[in-house]
Amino acid sequence: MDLTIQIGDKRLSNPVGVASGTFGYGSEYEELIDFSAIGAIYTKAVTALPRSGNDVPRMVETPSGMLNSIGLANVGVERFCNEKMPYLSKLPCAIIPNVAGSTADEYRAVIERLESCPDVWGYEINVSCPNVKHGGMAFGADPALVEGLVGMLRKKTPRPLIVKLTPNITDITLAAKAAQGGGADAISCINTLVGMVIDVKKKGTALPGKTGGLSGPAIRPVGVAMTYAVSRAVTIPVIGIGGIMGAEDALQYLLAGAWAVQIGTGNFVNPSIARETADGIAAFSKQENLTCIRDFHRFIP
Amino acid sequence: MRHFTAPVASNILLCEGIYELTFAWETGMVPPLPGQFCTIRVSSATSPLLRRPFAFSGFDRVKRSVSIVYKKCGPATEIMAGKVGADTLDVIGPLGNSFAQCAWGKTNLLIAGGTGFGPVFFLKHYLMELNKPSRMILGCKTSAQLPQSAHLNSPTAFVCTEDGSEGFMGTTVDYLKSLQKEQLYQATLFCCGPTPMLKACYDFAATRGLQCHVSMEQYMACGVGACMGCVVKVHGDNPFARVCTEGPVFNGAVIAWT
Repeated sequence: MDLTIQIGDKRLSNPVGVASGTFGYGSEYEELIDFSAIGAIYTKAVTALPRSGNDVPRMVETPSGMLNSIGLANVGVERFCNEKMPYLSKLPCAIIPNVAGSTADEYRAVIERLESCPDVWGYEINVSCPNVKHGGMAFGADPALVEGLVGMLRKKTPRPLIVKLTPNITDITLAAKAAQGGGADAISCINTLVGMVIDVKKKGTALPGKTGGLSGPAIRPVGVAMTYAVSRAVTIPVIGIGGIMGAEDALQYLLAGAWAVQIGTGNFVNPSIARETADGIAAFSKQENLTCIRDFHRFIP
Repeated sequence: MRHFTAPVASNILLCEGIYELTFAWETGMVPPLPGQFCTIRVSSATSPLLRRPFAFSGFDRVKRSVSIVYKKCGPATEIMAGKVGADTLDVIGPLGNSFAQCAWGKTNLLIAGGTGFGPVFFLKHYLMELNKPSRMILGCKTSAQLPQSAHLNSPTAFVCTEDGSEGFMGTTVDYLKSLQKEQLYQATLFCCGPTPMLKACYDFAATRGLQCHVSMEQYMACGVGACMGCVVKVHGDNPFARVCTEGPVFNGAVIAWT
């Protein structure tokens, strides 16, 4: 049984990663987990300059999920390289910074700086950010913008480029094809869904920014459906994300066509979930005599 | 911090809608400090989904057990209220900083509102062990919300009820305002309760040049500093601080009160 995953010219030792924004810079979970059980840490988003994030409150629980509006709060790429990478470099798992920006130039600046960090495995490009030059519309909502952005970044690095798509789009497969067209090595599918909670007593929205990103088990069927669609639209590996709370949920993504998965909100509920999920996938593979991740993809047409 | 399964020792109703749950504290773990908290996954179902934070209300060194005080006010605490001796809890803790990091005053005024009496009882006990003087002021709307506790039998414990049904009639801050200047000499305030009470305590302290430490509350997701969800507004280069990591205890002067 071989559960390693080829992305670009590199391999991940294990198909289970922890999703950006849910695992900080790794050290926050140091006392609680075994990092060797994780395939990859997708870090807190990294932007060119530090961002303090959105107004409070930033989150509210929803039925089987949560709505967040953190606002890409992060230390900025310089401090990331100087203060966070020395710790992350020592961990036994792949370190994949999640790269975000308000302009194509900002994404470029972040990647150019990160290229000098030898222990960065690859990049996850967050195209859900509002593009300030296009009226705040997310990069990921326009396939032409996705292709242009990925194409520009492709020239800046030989490392694996994983594009994390937004589900807040009419046809996610167009954005996925555009990412592949730009030279992406893999697709992360999906980011959070736009949601709103209204506090009836206050007659106002629960979050000051009105809407937030919905995550957790509530979005799992959406993530599985989009993973299924995207994995049939592109030839590069798809990494399934959305509401995974254990091995059974991750297996749904693998059977739908994913090569790997990321766990997000589930980390908040159970910090050991990545290890338990990886163990569960391995046990299922053995029981069902599946020898590699590709074997999962032959059941559902 | 550790992630562990703890057997429930007891879960008792202290007063109207407020419970104290006691559970085993694993051998080898450092004892929790007053102001610190733990997060509990109340069930394995997906709703309620997130772990809930609860401040410690006491630690029994002999029995190696800790207590938390909570109000039954939603689906998660409804489930908590149903826990009995045979049940176990999924716990991560101890988390956050504590009141123990603060500089003690010549006298220490411990002010509690609502379920804030839990951490304040813990702090009172802690200060007694350190032989530090303290005065505990516990406020609530009416006497039905007062817990049955030996802590309240102390001559340095004072009760305020807004309806005057027991003790001083008025809020905790009304009570503070009734104290003589010499009773406030070089006093430091330690406050735990609803945010408006914390702000009023801070305003009281600031106008008299007294130190005031507050335990802040915010919606929380990870509880360990990773998600940046539980921040409060503060003064400083970074306008936000995480309640779970930089807090929950803050110097009141650091908080950007709104």
